[in-house]
Amino acid sequence: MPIDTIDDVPNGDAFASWRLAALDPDAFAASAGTMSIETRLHYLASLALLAPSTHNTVPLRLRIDSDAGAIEFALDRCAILPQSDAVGRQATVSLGAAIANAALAASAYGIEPSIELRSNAESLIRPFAEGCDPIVPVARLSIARDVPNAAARKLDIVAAMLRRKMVRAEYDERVKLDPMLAQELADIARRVHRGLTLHLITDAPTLLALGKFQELADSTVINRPAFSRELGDWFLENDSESTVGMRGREFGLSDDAAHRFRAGLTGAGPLLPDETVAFAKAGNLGMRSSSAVAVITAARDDLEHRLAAGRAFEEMALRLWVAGFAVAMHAGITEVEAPNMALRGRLRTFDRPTVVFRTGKPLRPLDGQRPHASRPSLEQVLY
Amino acid sequence: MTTTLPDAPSQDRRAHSLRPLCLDAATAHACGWVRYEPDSTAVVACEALSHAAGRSAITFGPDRQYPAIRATFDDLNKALSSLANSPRAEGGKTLRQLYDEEVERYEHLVAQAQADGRVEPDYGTYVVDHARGDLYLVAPERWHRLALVTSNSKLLTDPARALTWAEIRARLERAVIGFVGVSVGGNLLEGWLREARPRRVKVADPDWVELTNLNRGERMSLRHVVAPRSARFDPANPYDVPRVAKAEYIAYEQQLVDPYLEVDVYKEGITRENIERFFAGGDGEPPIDILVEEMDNLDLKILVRQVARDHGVDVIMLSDFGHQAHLMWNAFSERHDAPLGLRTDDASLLEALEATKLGDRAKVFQFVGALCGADFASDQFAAWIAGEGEQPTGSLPQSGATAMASGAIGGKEIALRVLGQPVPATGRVVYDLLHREVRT
Repeated sequence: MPIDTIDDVPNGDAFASWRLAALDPDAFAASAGTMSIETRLHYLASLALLAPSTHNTVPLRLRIDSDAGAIEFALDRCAILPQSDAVGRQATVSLGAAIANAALAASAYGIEPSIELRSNAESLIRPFAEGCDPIVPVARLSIARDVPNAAARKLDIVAAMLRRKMVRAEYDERVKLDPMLAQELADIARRVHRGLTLHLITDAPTLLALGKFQELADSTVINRPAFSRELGDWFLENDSESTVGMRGREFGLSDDAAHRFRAGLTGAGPLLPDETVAFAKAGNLGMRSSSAVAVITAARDDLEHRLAAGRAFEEMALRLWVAGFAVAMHAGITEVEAPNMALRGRLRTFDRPTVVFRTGKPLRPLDGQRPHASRPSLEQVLY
Repeated sequence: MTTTLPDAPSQDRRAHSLRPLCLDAATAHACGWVRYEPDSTAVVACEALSHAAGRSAITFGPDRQYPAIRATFDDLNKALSSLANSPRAEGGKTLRQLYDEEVERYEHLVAQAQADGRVEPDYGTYVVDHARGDLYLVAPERWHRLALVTSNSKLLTDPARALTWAEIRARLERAVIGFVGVSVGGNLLEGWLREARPRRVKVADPDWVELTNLNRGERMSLRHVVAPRSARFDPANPYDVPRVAKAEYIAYEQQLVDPYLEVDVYKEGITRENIERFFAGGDGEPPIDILVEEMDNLDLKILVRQVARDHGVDVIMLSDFGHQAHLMWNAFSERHDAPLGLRTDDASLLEALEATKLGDRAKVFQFVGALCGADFASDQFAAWIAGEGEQPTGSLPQSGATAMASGAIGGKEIALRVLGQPVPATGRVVYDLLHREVRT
């Protein structure tokens, strides 16, 4: 079954964001006056909300400025993870992905957006500390007030935003990435920011090495009690009604296994050493089974490049989804220093690997039908 | 964009990165591929070396040269019988007679070389170990390989004991055994090679050598834990630690025992892409006669059995469960409808496999029970599964000695099977090293 034709949105308010209807270009362009731009901005913000985020923390906060025709993108420091994202890199990459959704959708509907960074935000993007303002404005996306051109547009990228999800499953190694598609991905990296480079790994020995690096990263962090507890806090029971966090079923876990892992990670129940090893090995196997592992390296490890890496990642993920490929992010390898340095050596680069994701088609069709992650409502992330 | 090259499907898998280069001495001397400087330093320079090592020439001082031909003949001299029961070889001559003729020829060439002021005669094979910087000179294939099996005498026979020594050697030499998973599987490979000394094997393993493997990895050593510093992109990056593929290390080590051994190396492991090639061969690569399955990937354990059954290829597996070595045969060459598991129908086994996908630890062991027998775990190993007591390791506990015993049992079993011995009637034999018992 194609990965985009299945009903994989669970019932309940926590998943209502995925039921957003894709507007056709005429509907998008039809309204006039002040209300129209507000409607359009809300729509773009709703699409931004669907972008993936680290641990599904959904750290973005949005302010819609209809007068200025803009959406302010901010980060909530309370949603930046102290253990796994101490410098806010992954939260920033996540925000970049959200900006990408809004920008790509605007373009798809015939409005060219402009993006302005608040470069003074970089030092503020850290986990929450007492006494600080939790909201850090990071970027502003503006759209023209003109009525967009309603000429026929390809909206497959918008449809992909509504369908895309992380598929953390074993892929079918027999499925190859078309060279033309690979070239498109590389073009995306270059177009988004000249400081980004895409490394596309398809050969078995290098995929194995990346799998090992990921396993090393996962083993490292999962054996750190503080990290383990943090992961456990965001690792949810399958029947959780939380609007953020990752349910076990998104990893293919049964209700019992999800409960056991959550309890084990938070220290509330037993988890045997081989179970954590199996968790790490699953990431390794996932890498090895992929059609390709993509590594986006950045010339500089700063706000501008992190956001750009997130934007490039999301555009690639959507493009891949349109082509029938699933995607799974592997943030551990970018945040744990030893495997990150090892990866630089393997890629023969001095640039920092900032985004690592794999792509392919699930080996077992059922894995492609795993449910979406939850989302807060748009109102809940407005500030 | 940087991209890595996809694997070439029709590559000659014998040309792995550590493969020692074999050069016929007479040809090497005539072509100038091997020459000696006045101080006996050897210089090897040829196109084949460029392909193998990425260097057009390597110099070997006398301290890195190991001329082993004289020693080979001396050792054979003690071992080969001149009595009436010396095995018959071609032309009605005994092995001993052939040996004597060969030594005479060799000594004549040595005398000639000495008279001409040459370091070595036009005899034997240079083995260029470009990975370690050593140069060996070994006897021609027949005599080198004969020395490797001489001590085995005629202990291995067909069930009827009807075959001659030469016929037995021919059967063992031409058998092609495929090994998937070469950690414990490397022990079985060792057992098979010591017992049979075949001309060709296939090995598949996607993993690299880790120091924690050395408790059970046959011939693993510090030589294989990491690749040399020269393999690093940035010599100053201490995290950049290139590793050595298990499939390549084991091929390399075995080729330092028998440089004439051809090893088809699948360093990406068995995959859904290459599994047919592994079984059926192609492009000059032979099919396999028996599969040795020693992987820990549950899906692949089933997949290789399904494909083996389709091809009518027997599968042997030695499972090191704590102190027990479990021998299990799938005799698919005899029964094309034989079940994949032991005392379990296929539907139940596949259902058990599917149940492992949901992250429930207990389901994994239920699957192992379905495949290998529900009584697979006992004693300390069972306690580990139950999560009882101290657990210093997150991986499945594996006893180095049990792995070694598994290799010995497996090597013998493969050789016996190649010579026509039936598989155990129950399909399984359990060697309990703790209680010193054997059961089926």
